[in-house]
Amino acid sequence: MKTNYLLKSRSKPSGARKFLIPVGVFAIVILLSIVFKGSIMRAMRPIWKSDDVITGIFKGPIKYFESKNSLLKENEELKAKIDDYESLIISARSIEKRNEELLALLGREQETGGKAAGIIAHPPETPYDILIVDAGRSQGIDVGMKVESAEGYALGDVSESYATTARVNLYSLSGRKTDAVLERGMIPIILEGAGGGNFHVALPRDMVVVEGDRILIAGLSGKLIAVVGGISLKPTDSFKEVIARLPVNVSSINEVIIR
Amino acid sequence: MNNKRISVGIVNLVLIIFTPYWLYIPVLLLSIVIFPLYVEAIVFGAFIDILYGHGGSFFNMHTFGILFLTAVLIMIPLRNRLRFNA
Repeated sequence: MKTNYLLKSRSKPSGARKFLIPVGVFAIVILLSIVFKGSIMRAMRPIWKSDDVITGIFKGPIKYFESKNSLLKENEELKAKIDDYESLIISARSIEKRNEELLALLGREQETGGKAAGIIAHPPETPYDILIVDAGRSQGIDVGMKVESAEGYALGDVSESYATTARVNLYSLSGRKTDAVLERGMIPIILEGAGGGNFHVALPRDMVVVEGDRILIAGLSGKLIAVVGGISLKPTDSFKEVIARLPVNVSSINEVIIR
Repeated sequence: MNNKRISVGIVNLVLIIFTPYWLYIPVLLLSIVIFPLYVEAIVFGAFIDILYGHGGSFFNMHTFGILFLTAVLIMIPLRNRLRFNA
């Protein structure tokens, strides 16, 4: 088609500019993220909380369509779980009583209190072994406070605290090293986080360790931190590789206790 | 800026907030391949680092920002060689 005016072409970034634009954006975004990090975390809290509400709304109608047989089966499974938990509670109470007596002998008091906090983001939404909880500085949560599950298992500690939220680094965070004790023989070990709720431990090949062995956190509290899941040993190795995992599934817990 | 890019940006934002990492990271990488000079991915990477980062060294604090910056830079010379971009 013949025209009597020059067609205007949109200018595209030339060679070097194409590379500079992303680098410039990256630099600006890094600077802004340092300044606005706290505000963003504060703004995200109601959005994360709404995720729980929306999920809860859809759970009801979905349950309506489940068959009678599947509901009966679920009922039986839940009853069996209740029986198991009742026997666990009885044994836990006797252990707690014994613990109090031992601490009294040492002149130390049993830990009490602790603040409950709801989990608003957890793996796999978070790509690392990190929890975001809905309590922060305004609720008395400070960096370094220890975090446990509702059952009393050691999970991690608070790494950052904002106004109304806090970030919890789990002990299983990849590369993180934690002092612990293998309950069988009360042997001090170092747990190395492997991500996904898992730990690596390297132990001498002659040391006896069995799947299901408990690993406790170092210190007087002696809270459960991991359970041995698998053992790998090659004939030529002088060490065996032990895989342990957190005693709870962090993707499914809804609240934690922070002390 | 075309509507497709804006829509995909909104979808990526929602995925980052509400879905697992194994969904939003591949979707972001795919967006970098599909859209030319998709610098929004760098912003989203920094957003992921703010929300879910665990601190420590500079690389640990800005892992996804650096990852997506690298992907965008790699795609700049590669894009002309891709068949669908011809």
